[in-house]
Amino acid sequence: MNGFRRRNQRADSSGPSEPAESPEQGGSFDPPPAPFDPASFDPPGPFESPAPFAPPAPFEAPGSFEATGSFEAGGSFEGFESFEPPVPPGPFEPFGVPGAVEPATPAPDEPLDLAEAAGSPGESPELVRPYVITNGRGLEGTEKFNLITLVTAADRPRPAHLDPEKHRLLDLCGGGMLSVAEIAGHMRLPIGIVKVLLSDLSTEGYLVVRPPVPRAQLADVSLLQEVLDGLQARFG
Amino acid sequence: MGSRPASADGVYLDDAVKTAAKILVVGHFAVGKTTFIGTMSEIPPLRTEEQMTQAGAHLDDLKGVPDKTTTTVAMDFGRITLSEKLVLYLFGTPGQERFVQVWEDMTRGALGALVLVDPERLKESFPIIDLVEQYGLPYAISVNHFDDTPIRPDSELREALDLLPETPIVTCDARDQKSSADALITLVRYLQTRTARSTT
Repeated sequence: MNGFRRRNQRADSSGPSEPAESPEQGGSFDPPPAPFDPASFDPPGPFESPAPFAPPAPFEAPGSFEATGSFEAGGSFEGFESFEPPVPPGPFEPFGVPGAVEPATPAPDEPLDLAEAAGSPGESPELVRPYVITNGRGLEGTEKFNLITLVTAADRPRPAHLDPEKHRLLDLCGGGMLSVAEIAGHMRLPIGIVKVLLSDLSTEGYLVVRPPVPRAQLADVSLLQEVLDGLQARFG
Repeated sequence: MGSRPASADGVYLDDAVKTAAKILVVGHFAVGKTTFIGTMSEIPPLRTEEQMTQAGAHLDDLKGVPDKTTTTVAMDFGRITLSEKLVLYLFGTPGQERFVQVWEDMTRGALGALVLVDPERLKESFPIIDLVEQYGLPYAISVNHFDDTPIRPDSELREALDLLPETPIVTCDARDQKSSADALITLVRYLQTRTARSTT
């Protein structure tokens, strides 16, 4: 790069990745709980000092995922006041917070990122639960799925003995096409877990998968033109 | 013009959609990523978690976990159906350098990134821009502008952020859909010029 300011200021600061005034950093996320990796699973180590940023609401620690309803904060996109209650297990709940799409206030309290992910340390009784969902299966074979892979249920009867989470997933995907990220969001499961479920179901023939744009086409002029045309048509 | 695809207000994509594209909305904490995505998305923004593997250099606290460990990070995203065939996803991406895995996953397949910048907290954007550059993602700068904030001249921002002369800078009120859409359009136009240059 040709200039100095950004580089130099970074070099001058104590840690480029941790500006002191950023409340989401501050080291509060170290050490992170290691919730879902069975190979390296270890109970969360001693947590460092609590975050300088104290969520004013009862966040759950990120490690305390459950199969459903673990995203207390899910959908609270406009600050901390709109937490969703835990969602009971059962049929998927297709929407986030109704009305959350409304243009928000200036978001001084953007609740995402680490401040939230860090949550309050110490609540981690069920760290391994998501891997129970996948029957302990790891992430191998999930490469065909990324965040924007589009998926829908195949027109095919499903077996009676399917795992509950796979049932839920097929229920959700039976309604139409969704991206992997949306499926994870609606099911309130981590992306990695959803990929495993999708991979299994796809292998078994229960899903129709529409792969993402190949890398070679990403910089494709026509794709960019389509995106531009779409944005201008819709918002111009 | 302006007519929304039939599925725009629903949960599901239109059956005819063939292609999904992805643009990242990045920036430091509380810079307005969530607001931006909420303003632009046709669905209530969703949140999910991604697992990450990170190098263990600073993770001495996790005894017995050699070399690497995993953690999760929350990210939120929204959706814009752009045509019968094409849907665009906007992913709000946390700007932490150590979340290498998330960045790899997020940047893979992304068209580019819109970097939201608060002119009052420029320094917090430095590591974010470093990260975007590190992953080779083309980007445009979207400078927060609220009613009461003074506008800094682009030249000043360009110097402070060490931008290439070609990197677009656009001011944006993330609460305003037109303003936010203009920022995205600026980014996509820039991506086009880059593509045109590299293919001729």
